[in-house]
Amino acid sequence: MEQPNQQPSVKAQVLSHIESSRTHMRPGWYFFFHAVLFLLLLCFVLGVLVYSVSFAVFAMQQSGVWMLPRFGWRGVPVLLAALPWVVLAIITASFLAAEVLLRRYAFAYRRPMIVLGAGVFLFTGIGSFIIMQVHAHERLKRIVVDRDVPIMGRVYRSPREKQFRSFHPGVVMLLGEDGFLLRHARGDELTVRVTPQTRLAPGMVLRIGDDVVVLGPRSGSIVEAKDILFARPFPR
Amino acid sequence: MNDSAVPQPTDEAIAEEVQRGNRERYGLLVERYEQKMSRYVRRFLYDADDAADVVQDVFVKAYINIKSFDIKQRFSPWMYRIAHNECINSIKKKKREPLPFFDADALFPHPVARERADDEMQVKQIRLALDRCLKELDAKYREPLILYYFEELEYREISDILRIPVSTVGVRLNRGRVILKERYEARYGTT
Repeated sequence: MEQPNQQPSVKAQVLSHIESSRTHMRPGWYFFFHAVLFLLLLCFVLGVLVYSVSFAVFAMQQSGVWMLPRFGWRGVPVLLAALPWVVLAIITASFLAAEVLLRRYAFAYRRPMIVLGAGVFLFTGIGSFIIMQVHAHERLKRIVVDRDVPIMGRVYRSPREKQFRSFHPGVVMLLGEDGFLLRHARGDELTVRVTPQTRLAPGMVLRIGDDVVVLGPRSGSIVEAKDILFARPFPR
Repeated sequence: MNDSAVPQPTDEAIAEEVQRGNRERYGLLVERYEQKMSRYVRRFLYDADDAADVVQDVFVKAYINIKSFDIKQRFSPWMYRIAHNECINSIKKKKREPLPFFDADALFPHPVARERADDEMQVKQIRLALDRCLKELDAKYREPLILYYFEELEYREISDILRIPVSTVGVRLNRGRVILKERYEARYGTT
């Protein structure tokens, strides 16, 4: 015989909860939409990641910063100052978000995070490579810059407009006795002074029209060249 | 007629009936899992005060979300996963102990630790030590030990419940046993 003040069993309490209509089963479509939304979010994050990585590469090519490793250790400080840090921050955030979202799935959480990270890295690399191969950013740039689309136009113009104190990509316009006139990739003209201390590639002979990159401090419109390298043609 | 010959429906079959709207059948699932959930929650939270409330919450949550259960999977890990989440929520709410945000164990691969075939004596000793030293273990070691030694789950099931790599389950069990032994011997001397 049940005692009057005996605590009801867990089963009784749970069923009472359910029967009293305080508790409702979530419908199947709720979970379906939840799964779809989650998948969309994951696709969005991966899309941002792939886009950001390919844009970072594009921006570095546009500004010529891509070339800095060829200067060896001398180019490193300039490279660090010239990296698109905002884009890199977005890449990092997207990468971490992708890892967190993917760990909802058994194929992801059953494996160490570094394996998942490598998978995301590979996916991003392949996706970015495809985007670069189809010149998607060049095409998009033409559209947003020509139409002066707000924000996007500025974003795509900025790599070319970026000014560096000691990194000067451009085209040789005029040759002189102790240097040459350089038309900067941004459009302005600089006088480059070549001294006996300037490091040139072995057998390097400069000609008018050559695309070059000059490393050296700038004072006004004069650059004291420390290093000069040939560059692949910059977009005009 | 011999009733014991009538095969009992599986947990998955009962869950499917509940999904179709047969609320009464949910009582059968509660009966089957009440003892397991109570045992697991009491040990994980090592505090009987709100263990009963947490167990009730587990079953209510499971009912609410029953349609998210895939009947092709096993019901038991799904149920334990809900219990794990409720226990973690309880720990966070009551700030019982700090829970690490980042799990370094799950970062790198570890050599796969085989599931040990502990003999019966070893299992008894570990269960005794666990019962006595539960509070002295961090949640990240306490939980896999409870799931393995008391709930008798396999590595893969524990991996699904805790959402950690299978190799990490082995690492945590090994480390947990070492720490448990140290704590036990510090308190009760060597056996």
